[in-house]
Amino acid sequence: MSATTTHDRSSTGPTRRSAPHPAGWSQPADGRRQLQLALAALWLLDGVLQCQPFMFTSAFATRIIAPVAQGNPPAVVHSITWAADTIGRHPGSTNTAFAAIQLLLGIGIAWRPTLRPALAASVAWSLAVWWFGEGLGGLLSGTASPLSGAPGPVILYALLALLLWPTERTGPFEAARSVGTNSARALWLALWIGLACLTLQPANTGAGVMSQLIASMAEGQPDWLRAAAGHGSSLVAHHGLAASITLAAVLTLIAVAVLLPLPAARILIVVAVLTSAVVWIFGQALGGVLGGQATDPGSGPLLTLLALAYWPRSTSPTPVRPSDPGPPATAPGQDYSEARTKR
Amino acid sequence: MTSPAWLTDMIAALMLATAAYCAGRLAVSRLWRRRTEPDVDAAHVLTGVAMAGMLVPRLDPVGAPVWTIVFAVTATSFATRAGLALRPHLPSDTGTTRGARPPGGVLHSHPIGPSLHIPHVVLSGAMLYMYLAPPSGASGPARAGGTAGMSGSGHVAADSARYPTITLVLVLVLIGYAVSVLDRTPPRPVRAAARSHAQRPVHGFLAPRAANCCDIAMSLTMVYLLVITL
Repeated sequence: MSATTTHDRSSTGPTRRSAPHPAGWSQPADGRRQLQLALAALWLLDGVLQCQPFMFTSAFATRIIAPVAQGNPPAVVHSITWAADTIGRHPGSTNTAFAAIQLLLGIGIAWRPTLRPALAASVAWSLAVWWFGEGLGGLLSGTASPLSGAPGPVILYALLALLLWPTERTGPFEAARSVGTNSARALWLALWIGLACLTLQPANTGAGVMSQLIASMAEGQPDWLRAAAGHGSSLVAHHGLAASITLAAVLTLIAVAVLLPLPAARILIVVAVLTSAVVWIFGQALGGVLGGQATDPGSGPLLTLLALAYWPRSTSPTPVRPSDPGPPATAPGQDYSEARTKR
Repeated sequence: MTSPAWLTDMIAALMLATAAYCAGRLAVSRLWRRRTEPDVDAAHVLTGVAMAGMLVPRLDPVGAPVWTIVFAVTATSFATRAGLALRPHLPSDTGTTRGARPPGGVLHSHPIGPSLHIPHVVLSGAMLYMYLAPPSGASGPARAGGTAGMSGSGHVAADSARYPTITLVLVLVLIGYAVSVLDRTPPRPVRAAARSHAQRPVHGFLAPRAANCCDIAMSLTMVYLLVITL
């Protein structure tokens, strides 16, 4: 093979095949852009998972969609049943549309010219799937658990799209730039406190509930994952209540991260990432993607992405426009909670 | 369980079209004195044809044993070059990256980092992985005379991946690569910028956005082939 290679570079470094482009087009992906790209990658993964052969059969409707209606109010049940019937009658065409939409969302978010419409469309699509495909994450059924993916992975896509909306504003963390610091903090608190409350629901605090959930997710998984889940399951066996209380305490601690000084906030954001990983591996078996019938990678990667969007900055990397003054940057050691965005 | 025939046919057609386009790039780049990445385009020709054969076995011209050797060579080639790119560049190296001259005859002015070759190492490695570790339940490339994961119906069958964790890692890396290429693909050239590029002694890169689209199509198709074995 020839060694000839292009070296057409922009200021960003070794980007090959950089066509002549508008000045500033190929800016290096900053933290916000990297989070957007991670979101795009997850949408692409969803789209490809939707192309698995199983999804093109009526079993997708009967085994994936219809069961999520269980325990929901009649109005929700009726709508989900209608959706399952429709998909069951036309599994090929409906699934093709689902896969295409998700692939296009991923491509749209990753390609800068279509970022905004793709993010907006992803919110609409996420809400529709949350209702019809996830039964509102089981929130109204009384059995939702963060371990099993509550409040529903797809609603986290919508939340991320909102928090990662492109903007010139600044903020003490990425999520604050689009919705404002206080709103971002409120969303974070609501999410993690909500997860803590779900953990303490009666349906989740039984002696063997958590153990059984972990064990059931391990079925059909690779050996290492099955072994890990087996250890996790035996660890919490007969200690369901204690495990639930511990998990709820950790989730509550994570919730208050955005109200604490910068060093403590950073530690708790790391705890959030680790907790998301533990939940993803033990509670969700990597979202079941290794089992051939997963429609998404589960809530673990999304919670991690969300946590990274709340990583407090010590300095503000984005220049502040005179017409749009941002907040003072937090200095190392400065009280994280005092770094307010004045929009 | 087998993927819908229309879907595999469509993706196979896309792969053949991509391979044909990359072959065309190789052919016209010298005629038009435009820069290309001949190694990448050649790899895309091979990968496109091989993937089309994976999706629709009757389109496979050579069979799995040959493809195994081909992708072992391409993976090794890209890996070697990625390794060489890690070497510290001596002053005499600058401007003559790997001693290569572009078709225009002017020496390159920047060293190349290993990151440009690594995605192609992964893509070739993924192809090699598909041939060397066919999904369990498949009859195997050598015995079946076809490629990995093929069913008797003439289309790719979704047998379980033998090493699902490796499969998932490859999927994530390739999706990450596709997303990064999408991110750096500009919408359209600006005339002023194009003129300034044209003043350089070397002609510009041949259809960079189309080349990026080839990268993306190859990566996502490989992801599809890997995911349906999970």
